[in-house]
Amino acid sequence: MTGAPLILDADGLDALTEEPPPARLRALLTQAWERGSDVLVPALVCAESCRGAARTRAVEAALARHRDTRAKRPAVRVVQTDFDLARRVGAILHAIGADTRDIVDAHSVAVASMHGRAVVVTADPADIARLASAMPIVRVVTRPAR
Amino acid sequence: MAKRKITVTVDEELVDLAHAVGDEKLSAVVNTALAEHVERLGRLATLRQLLDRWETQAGPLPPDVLADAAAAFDEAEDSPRMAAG
Repeated sequence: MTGAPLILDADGLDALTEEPPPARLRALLTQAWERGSDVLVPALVCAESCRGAARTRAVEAALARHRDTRAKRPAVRVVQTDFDLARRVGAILHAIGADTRDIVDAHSVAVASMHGRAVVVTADPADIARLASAMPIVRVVTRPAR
Repeated sequence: MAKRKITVTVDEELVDLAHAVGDEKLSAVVNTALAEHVERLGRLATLRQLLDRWETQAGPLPPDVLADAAAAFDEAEDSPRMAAG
């Protein structure tokens, strides 16, 4: 069984673009590796981070990092928003009476709900906690990237 | 994509269960599972390489920072509740 996934929100993704990333994020990524956990970024989080050419290039570079081998794969997997995920996001927003201003953070919580548990890297732990309260059986722990 | 015939050994109970739930195409099931496994191993190998590079650039991580990260995962994997750090 693999460990809980590590989910990056916009702050986590921005921190990942730094070379090297901040120590707290490196430590979380180290734990993810030790536990065989997936490192995930909801696609909508990229929309929040990819504002301006320089930031977009930095995000593209961070997500494309790979080993120079036949089995090359990026370390981070972008989770596309399909109907199932969109339905989960809608359910979360509806359950706590939130509007679409919370739609990006709701994607992080919805991705966590697909795995039943997650560590979410965020600068907005209160927002994630409020959204996660819509799914009390999902284990969500937050940590900052810096 | 070209296919190669291999022999694998799996739990008999799993094969019975797969047939019982109506999945007769075990080759496709094994192929999908192996593809997902290889994908995961590739991602973890890349992550390991990045972690090693960052350690060379910035030095080892402070023990308290590592401990806090471990605690976050322990909490996510053990306790059914929300916790902020």
